[in-house]
Amino acid sequence: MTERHVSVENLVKTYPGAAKPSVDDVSFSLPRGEMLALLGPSGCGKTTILRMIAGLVEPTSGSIRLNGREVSGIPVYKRNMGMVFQAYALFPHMTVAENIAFGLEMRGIAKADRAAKVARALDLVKLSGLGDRRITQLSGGQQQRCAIARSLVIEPELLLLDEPLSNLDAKLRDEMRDEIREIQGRTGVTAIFVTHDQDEALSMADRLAVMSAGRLEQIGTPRQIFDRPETEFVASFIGAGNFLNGRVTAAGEAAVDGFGALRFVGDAAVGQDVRLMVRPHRLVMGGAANSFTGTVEHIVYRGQILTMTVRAGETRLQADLHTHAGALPEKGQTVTLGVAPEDVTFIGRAA
Amino acid sequence: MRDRGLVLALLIPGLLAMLATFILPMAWLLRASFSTSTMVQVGFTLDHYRAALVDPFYWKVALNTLTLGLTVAGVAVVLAYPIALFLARTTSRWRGVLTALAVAPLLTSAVVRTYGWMVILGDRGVINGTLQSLSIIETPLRLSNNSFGATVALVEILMPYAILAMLAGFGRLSVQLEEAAAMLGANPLRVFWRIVLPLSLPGVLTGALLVFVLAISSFVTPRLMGGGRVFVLGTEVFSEATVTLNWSLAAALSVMLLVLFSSVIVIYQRALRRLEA
Amino acid sequence: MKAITLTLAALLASGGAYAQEVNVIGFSGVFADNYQKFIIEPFEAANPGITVNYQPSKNSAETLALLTRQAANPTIDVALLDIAVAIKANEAGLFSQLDEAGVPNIAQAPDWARVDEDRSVAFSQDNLAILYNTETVTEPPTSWNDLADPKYKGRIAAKLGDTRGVILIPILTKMAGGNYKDSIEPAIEAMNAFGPNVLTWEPAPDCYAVVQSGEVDLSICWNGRAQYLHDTQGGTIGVAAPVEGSIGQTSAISLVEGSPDAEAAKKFIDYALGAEAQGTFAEKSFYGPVNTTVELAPEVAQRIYGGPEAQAAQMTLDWQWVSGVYSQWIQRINREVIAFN
Repeated sequence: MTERHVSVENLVKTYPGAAKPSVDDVSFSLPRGEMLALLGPSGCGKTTILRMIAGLVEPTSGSIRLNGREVSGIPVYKRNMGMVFQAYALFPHMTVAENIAFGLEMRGIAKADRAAKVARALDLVKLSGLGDRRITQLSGGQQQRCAIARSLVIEPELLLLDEPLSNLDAKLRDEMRDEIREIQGRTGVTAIFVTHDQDEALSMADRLAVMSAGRLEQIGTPRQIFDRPETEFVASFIGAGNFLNGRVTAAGEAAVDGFGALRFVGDAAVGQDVRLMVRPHRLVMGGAANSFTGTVEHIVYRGQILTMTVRAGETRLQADLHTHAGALPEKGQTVTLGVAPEDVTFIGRAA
Repeated sequence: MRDRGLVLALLIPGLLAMLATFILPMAWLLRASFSTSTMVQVGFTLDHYRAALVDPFYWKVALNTLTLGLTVAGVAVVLAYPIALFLARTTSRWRGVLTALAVAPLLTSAVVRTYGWMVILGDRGVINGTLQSLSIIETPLRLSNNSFGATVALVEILMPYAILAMLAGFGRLSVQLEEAAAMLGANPLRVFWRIVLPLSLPGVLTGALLVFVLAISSFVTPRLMGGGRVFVLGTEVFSEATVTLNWSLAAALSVMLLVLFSSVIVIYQRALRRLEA
Repeated sequence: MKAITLTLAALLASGGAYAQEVNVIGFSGVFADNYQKFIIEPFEAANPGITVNYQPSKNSAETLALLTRQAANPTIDVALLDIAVAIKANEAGLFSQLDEAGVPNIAQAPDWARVDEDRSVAFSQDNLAILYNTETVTEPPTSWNDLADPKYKGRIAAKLGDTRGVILIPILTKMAGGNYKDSIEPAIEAMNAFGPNVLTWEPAPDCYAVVQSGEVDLSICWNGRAQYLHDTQGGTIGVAAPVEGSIGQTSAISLVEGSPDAEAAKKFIDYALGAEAQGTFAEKSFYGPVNTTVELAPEVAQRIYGGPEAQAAQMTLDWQWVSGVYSQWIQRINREVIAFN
């Protein structure tokens, strides 16, 4: 087992006067150098977890360990963590270099060393030569880089990022996404970032922790989360999904209305009622291991993709097909669709 | 073009009001200060200015005024700062109520509040009464009818202005900046010193200027609380205008006061702008 | 049509003459009430064709400001002013000259009361007196020297930066054997002798209330209002008329230059200066009369001037002369007395 650099155990936060906890019994851990995304809709408690790790919010119960050492009780300013705030929180009365040097100054690092470290940090985030600028003279992306440099220059044990890309426009966001990942990889710093954007989480993080209503739904690699969601919430929050009810008739095979037998991946006993999920874009035209025939009820041509609703028996499915110049299905037409058994995910027992 | 016409049309009522209530009286004041008569506006003379400038008493009064203004501004700002800072930072749902409470004294006139202070600080007032009944002192402490009383009352009367000016000037302050500084290793004292104080300085300085200007132009409170012993330019202008009826000298004193302190304000604001840049 | 008929009928009823109006501006408060009741009303009763409107003003300085503003086109006919302010107004030529033909009663005014060639004539004198709180002061003061008694340390209110101070100077100078026209040094010295006893030189709201409330034991104030407050406020305020005598704050009546109705105004001024009006006014408001033919009942004289000794020592001022040093004296009081105490 890899070294546990950061571990969170049974973390709970209930705000005074609140009926329900904002963070409800959450546990996870990170090995050194990993980048974890806390993903979930707004209000799910992800930012509260980040702030508890930072020391900005006092946990109601539970423990947070860094290198096996409990950090609760250590004040914020002694935790040696770097944080990139959503609105960057750069000090408006200081220059770029002064902002970056601030943490070093607080650590009593000699002026000459400070200058050298600041220069390296500016170089790391590609802001060399802008050290004397005032914060207001920087573009949004430059402010973002400055905030990252400021939190990395102190060589933190842990880098925390709160919705780091939400203040940037779409184009810049893609660029910074790669850049943050690259900088994190280069410095090898352990990082946790909070986001509500699944693309961001899938593309940047080593692992994702998906949260809902204060609870941790699932934690895993992007592929695990996307292809093997363990709860219906995870399956529907990340990507789209067709949810099917069936009854297991044999190992890895269930009877689903409209399909007949549907082969799936997952552990379920014969005779059990199950909930299965098929992603729309994993459906293909023509027969496969699993195939079914239905009527096209609704169809939208979207250039790259053709989205259709197909009815088979009482079941309706959405299918996203890649388009081509040849003949395409039309509304009212009967089509046969297929899906590979490994693309049929067992979510759990049917309700 | 039409827009400009509209803007001008919209400005006219305000400009007329300014003309009637500010510019005309100012012109009258200026004219009166050069009049050879003490009452009506005739001729031209610099005698009133000369009289005021060569009189060491007026220099002393000017110095008194400056001292009073600086003391009141200093004390009011020191007392108002924590309150304003608390109001700016609190997330309490009572914040609105608390802010209203802090500036509520403005709903009562300065004269009424001055009388209030006379009741509190007088020889037979609340403080002396309490201290005497507790046998801590025998003879009453002289807390009013002197510059101490005037300073105390002015500080309290002008504090709400300081609080308001500060709240307006604390725009760049944010909890997130304090958190960022703490994350970077600054303890609470250093957060205050390096982040909160510099960012709130423009508000503090605006508050100080406002209180200073109001303090040096006050005359009711210094007169009543000072027991006639506090000579400031405001009380002198008042007495020249209403007791000795030397309107021209009163006008000359007013003009000098105006010129002196408006240049202070201009210089101060220039410095302030540089600070905020 | 009906309104015109009515107006005509009213005109005819008033003896065929047109209705005359006299606008008087003067002091406010009890003075205004008494003036209305004891001077204006009897005058109107005797002159049915003339209506007198009394407009109270906050103080003489404001009256002067109003008159100055209206100089070119006055709406006021008669002004009652502090005599020092009246002299100021005459410098600006705001009042017209009266004569014995138009206003016979000025013949009954003493020389000192006829100011600026009869442009303003004094009609009342309100003595400067020492007020004391009858609850805290068992032994009422009898002399101006009592102000310097150490037992009153911090117990005196003395608003001297105005006419009160200007009147006290000649009194104190005379007590020291001097003449105010030669030197006021003795008065400044005497003020500095009681200066340390003074709690406030700027009693608020006024020099009467601080005695009533017990904030001070003694206060230097005007007799007329003090007597009125003594009678109406439960006798807490006592009035001491010092044996060395006093001087009255003198009020003068003047006809405004360019008065819209000078004839009626002169009639009114003549009445106001007459013995009947002044006698009644003195009796009711304790303002000393100026008309030399007025005979006061002994008890009235006692309340206006004090005992026989004080009555004998009563002084008058050469106001014309004092007006020339008025602001200089106030300046000296401010700078040489108040600033040091």
